[in-house]
Amino acid sequence: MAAPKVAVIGAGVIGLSTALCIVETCPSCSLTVLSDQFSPNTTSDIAAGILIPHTYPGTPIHVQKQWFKETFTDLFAISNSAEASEAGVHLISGWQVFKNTPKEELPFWSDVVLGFRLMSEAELQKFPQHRFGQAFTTLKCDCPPYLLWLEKRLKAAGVQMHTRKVADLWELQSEYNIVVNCTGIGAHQLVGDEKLFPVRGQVLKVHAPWVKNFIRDGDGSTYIYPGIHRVTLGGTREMENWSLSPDPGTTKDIFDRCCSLEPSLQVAQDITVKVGLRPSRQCVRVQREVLSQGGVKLLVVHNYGHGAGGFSMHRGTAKEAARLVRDCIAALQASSSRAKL
Amino acid sequence: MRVAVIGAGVIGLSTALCIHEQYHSLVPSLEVEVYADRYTPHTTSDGAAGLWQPYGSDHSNLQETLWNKETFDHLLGHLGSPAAKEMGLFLISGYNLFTQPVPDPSWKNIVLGFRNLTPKELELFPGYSYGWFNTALVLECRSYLPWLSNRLTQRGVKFFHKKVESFQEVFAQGVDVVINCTGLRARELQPDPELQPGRGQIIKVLAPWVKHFVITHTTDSETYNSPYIIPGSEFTVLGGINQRGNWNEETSAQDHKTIWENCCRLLPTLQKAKIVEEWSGLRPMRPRVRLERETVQHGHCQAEVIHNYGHGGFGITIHWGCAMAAARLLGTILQEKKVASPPQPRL
Repeated sequence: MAAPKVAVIGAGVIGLSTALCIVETCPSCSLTVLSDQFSPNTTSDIAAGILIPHTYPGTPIHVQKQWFKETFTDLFAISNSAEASEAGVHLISGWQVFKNTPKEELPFWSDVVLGFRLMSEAELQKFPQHRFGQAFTTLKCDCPPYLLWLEKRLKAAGVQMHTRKVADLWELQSEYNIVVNCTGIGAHQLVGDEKLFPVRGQVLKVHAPWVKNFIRDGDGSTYIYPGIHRVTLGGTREMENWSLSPDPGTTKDIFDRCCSLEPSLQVAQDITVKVGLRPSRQCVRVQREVLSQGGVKLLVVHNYGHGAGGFSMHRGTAKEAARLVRDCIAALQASSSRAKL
Repeated sequence: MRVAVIGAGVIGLSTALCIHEQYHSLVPSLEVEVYADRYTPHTTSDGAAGLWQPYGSDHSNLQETLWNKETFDHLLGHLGSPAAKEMGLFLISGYNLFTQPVPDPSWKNIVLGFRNLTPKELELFPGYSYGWFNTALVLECRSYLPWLSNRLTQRGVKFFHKKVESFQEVFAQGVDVVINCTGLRARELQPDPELQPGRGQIIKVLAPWVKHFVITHTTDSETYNSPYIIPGSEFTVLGGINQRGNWNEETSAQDHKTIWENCCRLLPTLQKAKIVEEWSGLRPMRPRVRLERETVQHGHCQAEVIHNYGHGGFGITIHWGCAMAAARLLGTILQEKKVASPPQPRL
């Protein structure tokens, strides 16, 4: 058969990294990325891009650990190369502090990040409202740079990228053999996934270049993530809230909470406010599906529902989705051979 | 009671402030003046990256360790204040790298979160097999010295732009006590064969993705004569030159090449960094900091000099402890001259 034609829908971190893995795993196929939004207008662009996993209740822990480890390893190599600044990938150290000692003192990812240890009494003195903490070094993918770098690598590999809003997967059946659904929150409408829900996050991006360490409250609601040029201050976790408009009261609340963790932020400049909808789900959907309609089949690979953990898991899930695409290609080739007999 | 501080680097200005804070209310007649021929941004302090870190175990001395600790704790206390950014003060974490295991430094319990590096972390730095990780502070003098100057000006301290040629010259104008914070050029005011330059050169680059300091150590080399990378609030300082006995304040192309190649080998991501500035300066090296009182003859009278110089490459690290020690020496002098009330407990 002719080179399989694969379409990846979505150009956030999941779509672009999945496309790149498909290029690496299935060099014979012709690949196109379709999305109604590209960087800097994706959900990924709003996120800080820090590698601190979110735990999915519905995915086995060993799988999450594997995904995180693959992501960390790949990005670690980039962070130490000459490409690091262009890719927007850099190491960052800091603290996760808790007002109350958590049930789990050692999260599943503690041996994947670097230098993980519990904070000393002296370190905790900097956070008078918190009595327990973890110190470690992890990685951060700054966006837009990281997404633009992925786009550049895709273009160099001959991958086409088109701005296009896909309203129905069947639209693509005549042009593509396999469709890879990396639409994030868009999957709610595109494939009618009721298990997918938005968790609204509002963040501030500020100019505070003297802040070199990250600080995160273990409750997940307040965090300070220094990027290359801006510091991301967060945040909110509003379930089932679809609003993309920044809320001024929330802005003040985020700023105050972050200043209480890091008082020097009081003099931060150039505050911009952003909102993103985390595409949340009990478990990440990385799955093959064969759609049928009037005797015609459409092979689909889903890779969405990463919620708050997109960056942390992206390489791991991209590799798994690429393997599923390879399986689809094998299935197509098998049925094509059978057809010839 | 006129006290003249000679020198307006980190040592001079912090000593002036410490003295004024401690004694202005106790000694109504106290007048503090600063004399210097170089002010920020032209002092030696201005060229320093400003990382708080004493030299390694080879240079430990209990007195200096205490002064280092006092400085760290003093700065840590200012971190949470709104002035921190204006002062050029912020926390930073990073790496010290060695080619073989070394004993823990005297300052391991002063900094935050001191620990050894894990094998995975060492993978980042081929050629180094041992190291430390800790969180320390950066105090950028390009911000700190103006901040100190503002505090001093608010307190009515006067500044004079002149080169002092001798202690006598200052006493002749009616100054009662001189505080000698002249760094390397203390030799011009009084011979001191132990005071030698430790020439340094640095390259300032734009590399805002580098969030950690990286300091390497070579066993048989001078501290800071081995590559180091220290991020500032705006620029990152690349260095690794410490040439004892070299008085040349001009930048050298050979040293530039050494610094650039070594730092890029240490952190390959720096290859894309844009060079913004070059600088060279002379560290005022001495086996020990000279912090002591000296009584000098001035005509028929005895005049007092308090020496506070010779802080090598750790002036910022030790400055506040020394300033307080110098202030204590002044207290004794004020007592003797019966101008001060009995010594107050130090807060």
